[in-house]
Amino acid sequence: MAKVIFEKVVKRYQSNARDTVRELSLAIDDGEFLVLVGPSGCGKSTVLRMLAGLISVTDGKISIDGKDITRLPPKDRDISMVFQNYALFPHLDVYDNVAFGLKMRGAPKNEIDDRVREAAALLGIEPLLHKKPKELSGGQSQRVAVGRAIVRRPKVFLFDEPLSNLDAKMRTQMRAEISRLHRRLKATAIYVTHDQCEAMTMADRMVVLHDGVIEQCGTPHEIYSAPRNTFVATFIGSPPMNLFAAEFTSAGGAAGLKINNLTLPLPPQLSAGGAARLETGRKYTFGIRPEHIYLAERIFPGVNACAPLACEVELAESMGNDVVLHCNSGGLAFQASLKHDFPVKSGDRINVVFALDKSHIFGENGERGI
Amino acid sequence: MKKLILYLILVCAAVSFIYPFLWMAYISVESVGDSGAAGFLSSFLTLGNYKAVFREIPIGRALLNSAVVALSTTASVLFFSSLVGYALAKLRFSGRETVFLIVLLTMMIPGQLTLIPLYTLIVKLGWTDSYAGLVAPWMISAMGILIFRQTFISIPNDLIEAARMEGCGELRILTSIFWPLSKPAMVTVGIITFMNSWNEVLWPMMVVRRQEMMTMPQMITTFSVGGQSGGELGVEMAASMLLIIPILAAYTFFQKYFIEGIASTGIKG
Repeated sequence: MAKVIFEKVVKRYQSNARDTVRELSLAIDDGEFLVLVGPSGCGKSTVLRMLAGLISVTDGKISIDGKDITRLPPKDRDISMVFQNYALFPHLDVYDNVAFGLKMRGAPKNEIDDRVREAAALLGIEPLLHKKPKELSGGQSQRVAVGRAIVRRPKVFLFDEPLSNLDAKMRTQMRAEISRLHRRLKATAIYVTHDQCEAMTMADRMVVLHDGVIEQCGTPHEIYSAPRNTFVATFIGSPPMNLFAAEFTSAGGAAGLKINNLTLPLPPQLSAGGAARLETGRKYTFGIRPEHIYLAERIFPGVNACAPLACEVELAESMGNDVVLHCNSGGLAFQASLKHDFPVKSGDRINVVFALDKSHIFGENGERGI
Repeated sequence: MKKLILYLILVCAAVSFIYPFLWMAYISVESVGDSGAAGFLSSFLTLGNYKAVFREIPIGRALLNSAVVALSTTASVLFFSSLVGYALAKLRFSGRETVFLIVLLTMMIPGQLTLIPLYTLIVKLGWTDSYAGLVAPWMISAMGILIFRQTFISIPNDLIEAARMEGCGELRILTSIFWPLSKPAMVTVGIITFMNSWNEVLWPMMVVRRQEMMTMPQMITTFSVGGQSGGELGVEMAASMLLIIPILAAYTFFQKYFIEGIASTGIKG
């Protein structure tokens, strides 16, 4: 298996255009499942395609196991890729599609047959081996595409939004199958998606990209619980984190954060000495995830909560398990995500509290570090 | 009523197209002396005219020459035109659109204009009275390039990228992925090229003098116009029938793909 390293990689499509990928440096460990996630146009597919050799690298270096592959053609990189549209060859049946790469490399016939049948058994596509791609469903096509990728036993697997054409149920099923397969093969895998749910559930490590730059790299838990900036804070998590413009105040000797007419006590992580890093009158951003806002009467013991905040429920969206409330408290709009066992409907007035120990403070530039 | 009139018009059109062929076929098997005198079924049917053709001229050799020339030309047009079509459709290089425009421009130039320069070239190369002289000038076709380019553009780029990842070079992608996916275009270009090459008279007349290198149409023209047929219409029609049989067979066999290819590329045959 393989360790992949990007060193200051740049991609510029036209000489006078701005860089699509800007000095990206990243190391992916052997056997790791790394997910590149970001909004459309952030450069995640470009990164993947540069690694695959399908597009050239403008500047920088990519290596696999210490070997510089920056200028190598795709066939010499020992990489397999699963495409968004599966890219199965329509004139070949499933067997020949899966065997294609081995045939192109001149593998002996009996070896091809053994490996194709082994991959087919692993993916449960044995009954489909003699069908043409047009006879397959989306999920089956996806399995065949994965089969074609694994049969060559490459050093690195690339997945370019492979589940985006499947329905929600099939997506969940295939997500679990790909994760299981990765655990079994222990191969280095790089997976591109714009779906944060896929990223959070599948990744060993996640890279959040924005405008061709890595905004944050870490485990799904790290990225969720300690987003490095307001972009990551709002991109990861659904509904997104509530962000409020805040000002540090120490009027009357009590340090706090002033948001509109509301003054919140300092979060515990700041009150124990951290307040020294805040400056009176400076602008900050206070962030709280919707799931860290509770009904005042249902607060869990041990939660460091602010004083109850009266608000009006402008809209209640039932998500089945949860209900998302669009609340307004004297012009302060925010979303709260509550368990569905409490009956709240649009127009109700409720009291909520913010779990301050779960809140986030970002500086004026939107970066963490306070 | 409207439909009936439409069908009547179509039947009339079909008859007007098919009649000369039926007449030719009939005259070719009519007994010598009766040719065309009193319409259909006026005398005994015979294969005498065909025997006369085989007796009078080396038609077997001409058939072989025509087959070699037409098949070689078709194979090379399919290969080289699809190669260029692939590059113009799927590869990115500066001047790509200019090259395509130049290819289109060559389609506007009447073939007769290039005959003399081509002839001079073939003479200088010493390729007169040879298969090379008959085949070389027609090894690639602008029409073929256009049809292949239009067909290849519609093939998703993902397939090319998948093939590259699986170890294919560009030539392998063309032969293993694009050719099988473009059967209608292959058949269309193949039939049109084969037909043009098979029916070509003028060019063989210019570069071939020796009878053993003559192609079928050239030999039949020489046979009919040159007086060897003795003005016998039945013998001339028998020779013409021998000329069109391979074309009819090829068209009948590939008709489905041919129509599909013409329809999908939007080019009139």
